[in-house]
Amino acid sequence: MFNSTLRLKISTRTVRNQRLEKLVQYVVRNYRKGDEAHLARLFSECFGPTTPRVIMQWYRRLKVPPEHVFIGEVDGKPVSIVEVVFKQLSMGEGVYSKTCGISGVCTDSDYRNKGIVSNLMKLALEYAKNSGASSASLFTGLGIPAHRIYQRSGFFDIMTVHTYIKCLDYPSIFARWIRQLNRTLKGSKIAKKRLEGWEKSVIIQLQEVGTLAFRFRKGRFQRLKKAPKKADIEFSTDLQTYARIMQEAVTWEDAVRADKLIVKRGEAVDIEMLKRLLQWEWSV
Amino acid sequence: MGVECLTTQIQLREAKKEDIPQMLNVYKEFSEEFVGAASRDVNDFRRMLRKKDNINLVALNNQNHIIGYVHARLDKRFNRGEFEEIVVDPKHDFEQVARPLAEKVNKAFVERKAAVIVAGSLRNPAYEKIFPALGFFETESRDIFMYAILDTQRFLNELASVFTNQLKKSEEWSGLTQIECEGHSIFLQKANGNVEPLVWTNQPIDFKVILTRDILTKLVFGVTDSVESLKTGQLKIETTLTREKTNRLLRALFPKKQFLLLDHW
Repeated sequence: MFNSTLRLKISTRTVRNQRLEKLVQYVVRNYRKGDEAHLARLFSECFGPTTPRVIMQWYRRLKVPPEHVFIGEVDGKPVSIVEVVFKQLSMGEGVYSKTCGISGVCTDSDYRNKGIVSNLMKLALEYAKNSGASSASLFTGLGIPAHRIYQRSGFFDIMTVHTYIKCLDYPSIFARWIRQLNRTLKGSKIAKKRLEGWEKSVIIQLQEVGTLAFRFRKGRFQRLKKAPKKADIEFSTDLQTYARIMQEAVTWEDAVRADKLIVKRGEAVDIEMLKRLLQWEWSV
Repeated sequence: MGVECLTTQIQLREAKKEDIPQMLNVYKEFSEEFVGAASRDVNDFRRMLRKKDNINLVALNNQNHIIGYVHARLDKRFNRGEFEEIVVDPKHDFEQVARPLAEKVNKAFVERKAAVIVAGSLRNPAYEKIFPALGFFETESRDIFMYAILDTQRFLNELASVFTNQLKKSEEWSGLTQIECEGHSIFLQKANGNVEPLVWTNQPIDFKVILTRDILTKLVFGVTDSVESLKTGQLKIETTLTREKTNRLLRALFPKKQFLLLDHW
């Protein structure tokens, strides 16, 4: 699959990088062998830890040929990506329509707000249209910057995802969450920058589970087996509200207003940072 | 007319490779009831059965035919059990097929010491009743499915056969229909019970629906109501028909279908 001839679609765009006060020139091209390590780094930053091998497996499983992957490259380094996956979607009455699924949309945090991914999206949708797809679909998060990019690209909100959850061993889930935070932090430049100098401890009292605690110190999250007597942030809630906050189904403020969450201690700035941690949201 | 509840004697067992054609048939029957479900082939099911961490069970009726299946997996990285899909042949709805499948998988996850069990869906009715009864709580995440029409004329042409079937079912109406979306149109002529799509016509239109891409998408996926859209002015109608007949014809063209997506990408 990956030996097929690359249909290179190269175009060069120049945008002004306001922060660096210099022009950023990028090339748009298709995926080619050897990109996996760069893509793994990009995906790790945007979606959580991954490896080049996982990316290869993903492309193989979804039968994604190189010409379905659009890459924005700066100085020979991929900084942005958009993938296209073709599917047959039921329109009812046994009629199926060729649709293009947009996936893996991400940009290196140093090159965001430059219109690179908007341009890649435009090219990807144009390619899908020329390949016979009359429509396109994707999954994203409400309210994140990407959502606004998709709306500008002509996408409409259809519906949100409903999830049913049953927690059997919450302390173990909490321990895994802390490990996952550390793994994700490794590849996330924005999170690292924002967390610089934020060395705080947190105590969470969950009604059905008990007390859980962690702290952020020396650039790492540490689960505290024994909760300290006093922490920088302390709050109590029930498991369902906590899970809903992490899933962004309810906002922290709404939970506080509804008396479902009680903040016992914590500066407003620190709570803002904790909210970002719970939802792992840094780019807004 | 009430819904008759039947209980068929069903047997559950692990899915085998030989079950793939029957599982695919069940999926096809099931997905016909919905809009948004992706088409699949045997390879999708082969992949589903290949992984050892997956829990795949089939439900068999008295004649040893597969009438439903469940596909679940244990994500070892997070020690999380995930219900991927519960699919039941619509002919066997209301026969308590999905519930035993879900209960057995739930039990298997508990035995395998999963820390959390998750069932996610975009409005899969099978999930909506079963999981709260099994002790799950529901949460609506902020993950959203978005849809865009890239080529309006092609999209309308693809939908022409859907509208043709819908109009055929509407016995009380015949005439020329035009569906116009942002400058693109399809024409459907109904006469003597037959519905013919026309490329173009200069005949007077009996029923013209004017809508935007946004509303067309939402109507096709059944997430908005056509009559409500007419009331709010999001959809416009040009016709000599009475309000009552207009509403009936609109409902016939855009019936409220259940939207379902099982295949994320």
